[in-house]
Parts: sequence; structure tokens; C-alpha cells
Amino acid sequence: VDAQLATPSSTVPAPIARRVARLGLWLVALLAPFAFILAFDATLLPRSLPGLPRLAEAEVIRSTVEDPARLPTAGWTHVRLRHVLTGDDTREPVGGWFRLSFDAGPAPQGLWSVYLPRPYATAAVFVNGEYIGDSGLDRPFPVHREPLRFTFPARILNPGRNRLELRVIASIDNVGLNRVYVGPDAAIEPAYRSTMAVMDTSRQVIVIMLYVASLTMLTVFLMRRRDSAFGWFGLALLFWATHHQMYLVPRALLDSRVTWENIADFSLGAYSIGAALFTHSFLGLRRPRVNRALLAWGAIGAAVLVLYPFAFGGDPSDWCDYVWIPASVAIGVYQLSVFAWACWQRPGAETAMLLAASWFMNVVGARDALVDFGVLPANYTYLAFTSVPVFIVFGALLLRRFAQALDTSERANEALERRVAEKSRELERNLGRIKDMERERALSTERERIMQDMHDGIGGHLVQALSIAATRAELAPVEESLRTCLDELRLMIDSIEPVDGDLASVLGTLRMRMSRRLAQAGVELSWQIGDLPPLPGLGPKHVLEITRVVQEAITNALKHSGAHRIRVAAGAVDGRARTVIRIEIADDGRGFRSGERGEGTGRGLAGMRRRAATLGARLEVETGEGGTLVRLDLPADTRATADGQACEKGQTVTPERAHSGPDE
Amino acid sequence: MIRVYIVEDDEVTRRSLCDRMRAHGDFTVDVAVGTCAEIRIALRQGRPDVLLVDLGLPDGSGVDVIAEAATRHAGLAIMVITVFGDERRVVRAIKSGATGYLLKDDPTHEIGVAIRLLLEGGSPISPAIARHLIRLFQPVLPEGARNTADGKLTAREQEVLGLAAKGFSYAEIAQMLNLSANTIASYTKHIYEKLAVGSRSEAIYEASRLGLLDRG
Repeated sequence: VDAQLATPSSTVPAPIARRVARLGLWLVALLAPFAFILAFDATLLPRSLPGLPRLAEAEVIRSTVEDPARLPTAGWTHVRLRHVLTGDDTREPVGGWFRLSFDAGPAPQGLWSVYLPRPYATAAVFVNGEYIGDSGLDRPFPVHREPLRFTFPARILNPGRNRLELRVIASIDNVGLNRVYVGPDAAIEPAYRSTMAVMDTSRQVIVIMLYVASLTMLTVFLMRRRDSAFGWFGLALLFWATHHQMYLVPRALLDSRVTWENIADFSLGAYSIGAALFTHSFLGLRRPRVNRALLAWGAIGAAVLVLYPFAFGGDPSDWCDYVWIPASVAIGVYQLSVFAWACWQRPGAETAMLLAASWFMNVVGARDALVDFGVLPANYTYLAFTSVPVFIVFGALLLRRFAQALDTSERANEALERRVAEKSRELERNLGRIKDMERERALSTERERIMQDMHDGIGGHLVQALSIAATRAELAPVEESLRTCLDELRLMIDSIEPVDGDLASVLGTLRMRMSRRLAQAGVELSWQIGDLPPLPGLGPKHVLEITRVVQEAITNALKHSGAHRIRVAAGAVDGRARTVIRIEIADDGRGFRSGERGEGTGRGLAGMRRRAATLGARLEVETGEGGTLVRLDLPADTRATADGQACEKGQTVTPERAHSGPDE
Repeated sequence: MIRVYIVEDDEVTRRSLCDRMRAHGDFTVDVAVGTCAEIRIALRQGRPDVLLVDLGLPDGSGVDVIAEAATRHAGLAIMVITVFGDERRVVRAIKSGATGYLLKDDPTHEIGVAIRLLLEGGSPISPAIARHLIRLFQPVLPEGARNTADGKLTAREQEVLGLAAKGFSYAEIAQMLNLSANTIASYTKHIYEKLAVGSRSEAIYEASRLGLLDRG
């Protein structure tokens, strides 16, 4: 709700629509139990059976007489059915007689029936004073959950008016008579059968389903003790099923009405306790004191049930009626209030469904109780039927939660696996990096060692030789050669230093190394090195190759062109597909033609081309009267063309512009 | 006359250097020795205007000689003499207190120019050294590396280093920045000094961390 309030005003219509829809759903949930009751009533208690009038008038008398012939003639009261005889509160079976009259028509034939769709009590039926049957007078039950049908042959009937006498007896106060039908069995039997199917067969099916569900839940709980919700739910279901089973047990199995009734009552209470514990567990409420009290109450109930007959004799019916059942109702109301509270605290589909289901069950249960206590007209009780929708909701929510837990744990596992994989990759990367660093360090150490050697050894000797040669004029060529040697060595040493992709400094270093020769040649150098992007793959090999190309171009200009000015420029140029680094060496000398200037130039050009190819670079040479321009276009990332894997693209020298040397 | 001390273990090179110095005319070579021990004694007894130090000496490292000389004679112009003028060696020397470098085969007049520059408050620089310094003074270094330079470079100094790394000469840089070449050279010297101070404090930090120095 808060989130909806926070949404921008443009989306206001949607929340309103949703609120209306939600209100509608609540309304449906609120009215559902009443609709359920009305629907069952309409189906099970038709106003009339086809072609049979409902007998609505009767005479009644309180009497414990067993034979209708001995009934007194006076003292009868005229009543309209349904009618209830109020008992004397003594717990002794209350009894009475109803006398009705019905029309059997001119010539009744075949099999006839007396049909009590929903009797209040145990009944014995007499037609025209003749005994037809009873529903167990020796063991009167407080409530009947199933319809009674007594069939008799039509020959005991008289044409026209006939007399129907019903002896009713019940163990509780309200004993009475509800609807009565008499007619040919063919007209009664279908109604009886369908009502029985609903009230007996389907109830039995439901109870069996409840047992199965209960065992399933308990099994889940046994396999997964941490989810106590499953355990309590299974237990609640077990007692609930037992409670309802008690009304279905063939009477022969349970000969004692007391046992029957008390087990039913105890089960109902135990159910309410289990359901309350389930509610706590399912909603994650920590109420240890309430839980302990509930469990203690359950233990007391069980103890009373078992021990009462031994301790006090008799049966704990009063305890059940006045303590246990009201307590169970109280627990049920508590559970309902907890659901309502949870729904208020944590609005959501889940709590809403729990509340709706609980409401449904409580309304139907209350209605059943009112029927049982005679407040409402005698009727069937429907509570057992609420099990189907209600427990489907509860069970579905539980299973959904179970599935979610599985999903969550699977997802957690997947996430964990992903993280482990990620970590191992990271570890690998780190190891790789460490290896790289170690290699780098080893290289660096090695470089340092070689440098030291060169410095102390060959370099030192060269300097020595040079200083000796410098002292004698006749050794000038040797001196020149030694100087070239030293310059070469310096070039190589410069190239093995890590340059961090800084090409400009590589060119700068070259300039410094060549500065003496440039100065000697008296050439004016125009140095135009702009900002260059760092070249990530610029390794020693590239440095050396680039240096050589530029050096060769400058040397050519110095030696052969007779130039006065040399321009060296470098900058980044946006090419068609990628950025290239362009280095240009231009002179204002004579230029050259193919084959001119001897082999040196040719070899120089060929060497430059080869080096450019190694670099994956593009070399262009323009030459003419105004001088020579050498242009080297380097890819901005030289990594791909490392280590002499000559890039074919490097060979693409524009033929019409490049002047080939003689040996090309 | 400018008084020069030389320590260089190779006799031929040493003699050649001496010859070139003398040939210049402005210099007197007062001490020309081949070992650390000898130059230490000489430095204890007198103070030259310029000290030329070779790094690879038979009885020790020229780096130590530079450090000692820089401590003993504050403001002494110290130059490292190397074959290659490679950045590692030169930067190591600068860190210990040198403010200039010479190549062992530099001709006479270049030696003269370099020493004059140094005595006038400037230092030479090569693109590789400039590149190296830029990296050393980087405010954020790659992981694991400690910023070895004490203090930061001014924007101007950074500019000068950047251009020097691209191979521009002092004259060219001076023209670009509208300054004199001498000013540019003095920037370089400042940078060298900053690096040396930074290295010294780093060394002190390292030493105290290792418990080699008494507190207070």
C-alpha cells in the first residue's frame, strides 16, 4: 500500500482499479461461507419432493411410552413442524411422540417410505400403529448427520387418511422433529440416495483424503524437522479427520455412545490446538508461552478423556460441553484473529488467503454449532465439506512455501557455484597476473644484468677504444666505426627499456641519440611531435623496429639528399576503421628515382618495408624534386602484431606512390 | 678555473676524460682516482666545484659515493658518467643526489656545455629520463608501487617534463613556453632535487621501519 501511495500521480488510476478489485475479492471472501451454506441447503433440503407434500402439521406429547397403543389420548398439543421438545437438562434421554396424518390416496401399492431428511433425534416409526423401524433406540445419538428412511409395504396402509407416529429420543436437551415425508418409495428413494451420497459417501471420501493429506504432511515433517509448520498442519488434519470420522463410523464398531462422542469432541479440540500451533509456525510468530499453554491444554484434554471414567465414573460429557468445546471455539477464534492480525501487519496474497480460509471455516463451523444446539433449524452440518477448499488453500500455501524454499536453496547453490567459479577465474587471473609480473621481473632482472655487463664490458671497451682512436688522426675511420657501433648499442639498449607505450619518448630518445650527427651535418631539424595516445602493446621489438625505420629515413636524408631541413612529425590520425599513429620524415633534398643512389638506399628502403610489415604498419614513400617524404602509419594497438607475426596488412603499400628500390 | 674531481675505474677512459677536461681550458682536474676509497679521502680533504662519478667501481657503488658527497658538500655539482646514459643508471644517481650526467664519450665541448649548465643551476635531461620521472611523480601509481617522489610537481614542471619526454630541446621548450632556456634547465634541476629529497625521506622511512635508525 505504501508503495502504491508513493507512485507518481500519473499512475493513480491503476491503484484505484486495483483497490476496487481487491475490495471485491475481500467481499467475495467475506460472503463465501454464507453462499456455501445456502448452496448446500438448497441442494440437500429441497422444499418438497416431487409429487410428495411435506407434512407440516403434527400433534406432540412428552412421553416415555414405547408402544403407541399405550399413548394417552389426552395432552396432545397441535404444532407446526419443525418442533423441538425442550429437555429437563438431566442428561437422561428425553423422549416424546409426534403424531401425523397423511393421505395415501385411493389405492396405495408397492413399497412406501417414511423419509426424515434431517431428523433431530433417534427415531422409531409406526404407521397405523404398526412398527416399521428405528434408527437405534438402544443407543440414542445426540445428532444425526444422515437422513433416515424407513420403508414399509403399502398393504398396511388404508386408502385415504393414515396415521404416522414417531417416537423421538435424544441424549441431549433438544429433541424434536423436522421435515417428514411419506410416500411411495420410488418417489423418495432418489432424494434419499442423493442426500446420502453427499452426506455420507462424499464425507467419507473427504475424510480419507484428509487422512492421506495428514500422513503426507507428517511424513514431510519427519523428513524435515525444521519445518514444524508441516508437523502441526499434519497433526491438525489428523484430528480434524478423526473428528469427522466419528460421525461416519458404523455404529457397530463403537458400541459406546460416550466413547464416540468424547473422541469426536476431543479431536475437535485437539484440531484447534494443532491449527493454532500451525498458525504460529507458518506465520513465523515466536510465541513460546502460548505454544506451551496450548500443548498443556491438549495434554489436559487427553488426560481427562482417558482418566475421567476411572476417576469419577461415568463420562466427561459435561467437561466436553462446558469446558473443552468452548475452549476449542476460543482457540479457533484466537486463530482467526491471528490470521486477521497477520493480514493487517503483512498485507499480501498469502495472509489474505489464510484469513479468508479461516473465516470460511469459522463461519460454517459457527453455523453448524448453532444447528447442533438447536438455535438454527435442524439441518445437516457442513463443516466437513469446508475441509476441501480450506485445506487445499492451506496445503497449497505450505507446498508453495516448500517449493520456494527448494527454489531458494537451488538458486543459492547456483549463486554459490557462480561465485566459486568467478572466484576461481579471478584466482586464475591473479595467478596469471602474478606470473606475468614474475616474468616481467625476471626479464627486468635479466635486462639489468645484461645492461651491467654491457656497461662494464662491451660498452666500457668501446668507450676505451674510442678514446684511444680519438687520439690519432689516422684512426679517424676506426673512430667513426666505433662511434656507430656505440650508437647502435645505445639504440638497442634504449629499446629494451620499458616505455609504457610512450612512442613520443621513443622518438625523442632517437633524436637525442642522433643529435650529434644532425648537428654535424648542419641540417635544421624541425621536431613536430604532438600528443600521442599510449600504445598498449609497445614492446622492445616494436620500439626497435620503429626506431630503425625512422633512423633509416633520417640517415638517408642526411647522407644522400643534401637537404637543409628535415622535418620529423608524429601524431594520431583517425583512419577509416581505426586510429593510426602517423610518423612522417620529410626532407627538402633532391629526392631520388628508382634505382638511383646505389644499393644503400635500396637496401634501406627494403629494410624499412620489412620492418613496417613486422609492425603491421603501412609505409609510404613519396619522393620528387621537392624532397622525400617517408610516412609510417602504425596501428594504435600494436599488440596483435607482436613478436614477428607479420601482419599481412602491413604489406599493403600503395604501389603508385611508393617508389620501389632496385631490389624490390 | 673550475675544480673537478673524477672517479672512474677504467684508466684509459679516465685519462681520456682528464684530457678532454683539460683541453677545454676552463677546468682543472684536481683529483682523478679509480676507487671509492680514494675519492672518499679526497672528498674529506677538499671540495671540488664538480664531481664526476662512474657508478661501477671496483670497491663499491658510485651511488654511495654520490650520496656521501651530496651530504658532505651541500650544493656540490655531481654528475654521473655512464656509457649509455640509460635512464635506470641516471635516475638512480639522481635519487642519490646527482644533478647531471655525462656520456663517457662526450666530446670536449659538450662536456663543457653540460658542466656550465650544471654550475649555472640547470640540469640536462633525456626523453627517457623525463618519461621515467613523469612516472615516478604520478600522483596515482599502479597497484603496489609507492610514490617515491616527495612532493608534487608544479604544472610548469610537468609541462617541461612532458615536452622533454617528446624529445624537444631546452631551447625549443623555452620557445614554446615563452621562457628562457636557462629557466627550463633550472626546472629540471629542481625536479631532480625533489626526487633526491623524496628518495632520502623514503630511505629514512625504510630505515626506521626496519629499526636501523634511533628515534629522536
